[in-house]
This record gives sequence, structure tokens and C-alpha cells, in this order.
Amino acid sequence: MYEEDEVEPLPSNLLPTLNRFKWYIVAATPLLLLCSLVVILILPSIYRAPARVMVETQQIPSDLVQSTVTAAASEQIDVMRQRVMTRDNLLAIMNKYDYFGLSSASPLEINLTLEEFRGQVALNIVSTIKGRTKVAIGFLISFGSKDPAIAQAITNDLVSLFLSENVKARTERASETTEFLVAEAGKIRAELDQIEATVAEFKRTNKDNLPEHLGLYVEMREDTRKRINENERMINGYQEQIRSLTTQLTLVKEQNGGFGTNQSELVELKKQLRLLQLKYQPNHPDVLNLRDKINLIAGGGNSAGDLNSSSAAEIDLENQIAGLKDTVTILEKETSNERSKLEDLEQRIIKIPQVERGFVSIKRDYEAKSQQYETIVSKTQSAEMAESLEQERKAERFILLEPPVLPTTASQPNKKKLLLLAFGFSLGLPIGVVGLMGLLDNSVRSRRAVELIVGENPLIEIPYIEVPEDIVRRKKYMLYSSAGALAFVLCLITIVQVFVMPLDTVMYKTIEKFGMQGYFR
Amino acid sequence: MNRMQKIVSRAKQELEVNEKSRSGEVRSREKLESNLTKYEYTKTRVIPITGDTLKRNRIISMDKTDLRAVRFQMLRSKVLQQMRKKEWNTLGITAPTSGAGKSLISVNLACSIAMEGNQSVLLVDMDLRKPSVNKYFELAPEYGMHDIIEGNASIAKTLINPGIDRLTILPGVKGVLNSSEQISTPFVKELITSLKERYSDRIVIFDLPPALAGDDVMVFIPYIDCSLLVIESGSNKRHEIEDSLNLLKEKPVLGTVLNRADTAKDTFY
Repeated sequence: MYEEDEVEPLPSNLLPTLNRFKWYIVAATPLLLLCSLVVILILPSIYRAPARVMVETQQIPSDLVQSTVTAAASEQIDVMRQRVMTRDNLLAIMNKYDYFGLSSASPLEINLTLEEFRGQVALNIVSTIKGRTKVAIGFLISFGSKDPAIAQAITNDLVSLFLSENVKARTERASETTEFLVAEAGKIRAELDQIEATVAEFKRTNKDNLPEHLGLYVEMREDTRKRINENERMINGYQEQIRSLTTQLTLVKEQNGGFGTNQSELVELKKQLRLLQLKYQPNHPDVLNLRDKINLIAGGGNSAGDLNSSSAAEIDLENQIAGLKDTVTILEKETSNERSKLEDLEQRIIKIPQVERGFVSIKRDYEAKSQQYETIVSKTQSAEMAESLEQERKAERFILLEPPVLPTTASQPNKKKLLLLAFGFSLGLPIGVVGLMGLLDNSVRSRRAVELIVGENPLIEIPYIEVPEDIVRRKKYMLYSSAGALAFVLCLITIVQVFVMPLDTVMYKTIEKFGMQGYFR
Repeated sequence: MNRMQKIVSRAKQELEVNEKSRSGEVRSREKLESNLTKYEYTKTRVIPITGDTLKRNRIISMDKTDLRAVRFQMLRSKVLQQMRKKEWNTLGITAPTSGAGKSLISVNLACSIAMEGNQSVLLVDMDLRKPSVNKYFELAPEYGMHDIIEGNASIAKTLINPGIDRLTILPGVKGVLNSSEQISTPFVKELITSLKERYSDRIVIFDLPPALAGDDVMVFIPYIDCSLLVIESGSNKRHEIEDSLNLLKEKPVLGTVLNRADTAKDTFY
């Protein structure tokens, strides 16, 4: 009956506890609120003089000149923030003002002041929605200080640092791009030169078989062939001529009694003579005539006069024949020359495809490289253009739209936010504490809890039995605690009056701090 | 209808129980005669207590105008019903820890039972370390429970009637340190038995020390018929209640009373 097997958690005491302590919460809230207000009042005023810097887009259309700085403006601002907020830069600014008292500070103090300084620099990027992305159109930079003049002066310094840093960074980047491209172009040029040398060398070694000479060679081959044919024809002609001349010569030789030709004539004449002698007397005139003639022929060649006239014709013919023979020899020699030439040409033509293959691969390399080179040269040109764009400050740039002005009202403490915070704190703390108490309270508080533990409801629940004495005591308690609270408030006021500032100042300050001047005039 | 029937049947039950106890009364009378030789019995001292004193000390169960008394009437009915059914007449009231209000509940319950009209009650302060019943009645008794145990006084000398009919108190005077040893003596057992038998027509309520504060309750539990556990709302933890019930389980536990319950303010009227 009293055994509890299953352990079911007891009901939460959160709400009953809150209910029990609700009046404590109600009482504590205004007290805490008062304390918070005092704290807010004591907080030092921080002045800020914001400077507004706008990001101006490139003035020359980007399809004409492309900038080398492609990072988004917000990213650039962030990068610049890192570049500007270096220790050296900040110390240089701080040293300008005695306000920070760096001259007499120890290294530790310097570091602390520096950290504080960094913390007081606020940079807010102003952006707009363009399409789906956020595009930075500018930023606000400000420095918070208790002294409005310092706030303004340092904001000024920071802004000029930002602007100069931007220009420097952009030009640097542009010239870096150009330098890089130029160096790259040089590298490619060298490679190209090397390939060109290879090409020249190749051409030199294969100069007879260059594919570009193919046409020429073919033409030459045809010419040569034609020439050979012609020569052969000419040789044949000449040889015919020689033959006819030789025949002529033989005839001439015979006429002149020359051996050979005159003999047959003589034989013919002797035959005739014999026939005549048969018919006629040896003294017959015809026989005599004929005999004279034979004698003439037989003995004529031996006579000097006759001999001279017949040799002239022969010599002439012989000379002619010799001349022709010479010509033929020359022509034949020529023809054989042409033939060897033809052979050479054909050899060349056969080799050309082989050479061509090797040449094409070299040429391909060369063409690729030269194209690359051309591209990089054109890129270098546009980079140079972009560089001058940056130098002329015609690219995207930061312009100071609104210089910092001397602040007249403190920007911090942010009274609205702080008031809200104080209110939340004053209400939340008691509720939180009581709630925590309720959550941590694992004691038995209800019928249900008893039932869970014991297994049955309690026989009876008895409230706290209050007697008149209790009421008196409670009243006393209320009195004392209100008196205590009052005393606390009075103490607080006294402390403020004596140690912090006179009360009338407090009032003015409160009015000023919460921006209520308007209501009191 | 159902409720009415219940009430009627309960009334009948009570009548039966009363008759039973009366029939036993004759038997106990005889025993009482024999006991009288052992403990001299004179008329109980009457120290009348005013209603103001009671009210001042949160004893409100007698005040018919006080709505809170109804709760004790409810408790009384529930307790008496069970005890009469089983013919028990000794009840120990304890709590897991001190300050739970067990003495206050004991006193109020005793008063309420006495008010019933036909039931006498003896309230015994068995919290030897820190007796407190006397404080509720603003009594300054000469002798207390520990005097009886130590043999300094007789029961009759110690008993006090606070001017309420059918209510007798056996108070404590001052605390002792060796309470556990005192309780565990055979004499106490005998004493309790004799009290039980001598006043067999009475309900004897023992205001016990906190169950977890020492071994007093553990030692004492076998002497009584049943017990009641007072739980202080907002103070007793689960394990304390479970431990206490474990300690008490040797004898029947009538139930629990949730004291200082802030959820119970207006469940009745």
C-alpha cells in the first residue's frame, strides 16, 4: 500500500511558488528599477561623431574598362578595417592627442588604452538590397569618447586613414595585376622565341623538302620533263640531218674520184668501153672518148687542181656533220643532266609528306603559344588601362559624404535601450529568482504529490492556522520592510547627493539623458 | 442519494462500534480495579484553560464558529471510523521532521475527538526530547512523562484536565537527552500497556517525536495500534516521507495529514 514501485515525478512547484511570492516580486521590481535608474545615471556619457562615407561606383562603364578590384564593397570595407586598425596606425593617432596620456604610460597601460580605443571605434556598413544580395553602399564610422571634441577629431583621423588606405590598396592591386601580367607575358614570349628557333632549325635541316615548295617542285618537274622531251626530239632531228649529210659527203667523194665513188663510175665506164670495143675498132672515136674519160677519172684524182676543188665541198660537209654531232653531244649531255635533276625533284617530292608531319606538330605548338601570347598581351593592355583607371580615381571609390561634426548630445548610454533593459532586469530578476526557487523546490506541496508518494490522498489538508498574533506580526513585518525600503531609497539618494552629484544636477541630467528637455520648457 | 446513504451507513457503523466498546467497557472495568492497586488513582487535576488561550495557541478545533475546525472534524471522523472498526485505541502521531506541526495536529485532533461527545481522549506527550503539548495549553505542570518513567511521580499526579470534558493530558515538562533509552525500557512498555488497558474506553493519542530525528519512533511503534503521519507542505521531501512510512509500517498507518497546505485554503466552504 505504501510501496511506490513506479517513480512518477512530483508535480512542479513553479507556479505555486510564483503565486506565493507574487507580492515580493511586486515589491522588489520598483526598488530594482530605482537602482537601475541610478546606475544608468551614473554611467558616463559617451559622445560620437559619425562620419558618413559613400561607396561611389565606377564612373566609366565597366564594359569599357574593367576594374581589377572585384571584391564586394562590404568585403573591401572589412579588409580595410583590418588594415587601418593596426597597432601602429592607432598609436599614431593616439599620440597626436594628450587626451590619452600615452607619453607617460607604461606598456601595459598603453595596451589597455589601445584595446579601449579599438572598442570605441564603431563601423557600421550601410547596405541596400539589390536583387537577392545585400550591396554595401557606404559605411558610418565613429569614435566614442567622453570628450565630444576628441570624438570628432579622432573620427576625422580615422576617416582620412580609411580613404587613403582605400586608394592605396586599390592602386596597389591594379599595379600588381599589371606587373603580374607583364611578367607572365615575358615568360610566354621567351617560350615563343624558343619555339620559333626550333621552327627555323627545322626548316633549315629540311629546307629541300619543305611542304610549301611542293607546288614549285611539281612545276619544275613538269618543266624538266618537257625539256627532256624537246631535247630528245632535237637530237633525233640532228641525227637525221647528219645521216643525210654523210650520204651527201659520200656522193661528193665519189664525184671527186675519190676512192669509193669514182671507182664504181670507173667500173661502169670500163664496162661501157668493153662493149664499145667489141663493136668498134679500138680507134673508134667513141672508144677513144670513152677511154679518155676513163683515164680522166682514173687519173683525175691524182691531179692537184682537181684534188683541191673536191676537198672543199667535202670539208664543208664534214664540218657541218661535225658541228651537228657536237650539238647532239651537247644536247644529250643536257638531257642526262635534266634527267638527274628530275630524279632529284622526284626524290624531294616523295620526302615532303614525311617532313610535313613533323612540321605540323611544331607549327601547332607555335600557333598555340602565339595565341596565348596575344591573349596575355591584350589582357596586359586592359590591366594597364585599369591601373590608370585607379590612378585617375575613376573606378569605384569611397567618398566622404558627411564629415564628422561636433556632437552636442551623448549617444551613449542608449537611454531607450537601457531603460528597457533596466525594466526587464527589474522585473525579470525577482521572477527569475522566485521561479528558480520553485524549480529547485522538490518538496511536497500538494495532495497530488502526497498521493504520488503515499499511494493515497492525505486524510486531510490543513492550512496554516493563523491567529491574530500572526496578523499583528505580519503587519509589523510589512511596516518594517517598507520602512527598510524607504530607508534604502533615502540612503541611495543621500549617497548620490554626497558622493556622486548634487540632486538638482541629477534632475537636469536625468531630463537630458532621457531626452525629456522638451517637456520641461 | 448515494452520499446520504453513505452517511447513514457510517452512522450505523459508529453506533455498532460504540456498542462494542461499551461491551468491552465492562471487561476493562474489572482490569481497572486490579490496576488501581498498582497505580493509585485520584481525581485528575483540573486546570481550566480559557478559550482565548486555546485560540492564541492555534487550538481551533473546539471553536464552533471557526471554519477551520471543520477540517479537524473531518480528520476526527476518518480516524475514529477506522480505529473503532478495528477496535484500536492507541494512535501515534508523528512527522518526518521537526516543526511539521505534529503536536498542533495532535492537540487539535484530541480536542476535536473530545468534542464529539461520547469519546474520552488521553493526549500523551511522548516527545521526550522536546515536549510541547504543555506549551499549547500554556501549562506549567509539576510532573511530566519522564518523571513517570524515572519513577519520580505517579500517573495520576501527572494527568491534567485542561477544563475540557473528556480530555486528559499527560504532558511533558522538560526535554531529556536519553529519550531513546528511556523509551526502550521494559517499564515504558508496561506503562503504555497499562495506559491502554486502563483507559480502554478512551482513545490514547501519543504525540511522538519526529520520525527521522532519532530512533524513538522506531522503538515506540510496536507499543501502539496505529499511527498518523503529518507532512509539512513545502518542507518535507519525497524521500523523507518514504523513509518515515517505512519506519511506521510495522503498525498500520491510518493516513497522512498535509499541514500548512497552501492549496487547501477554500476546499471546504
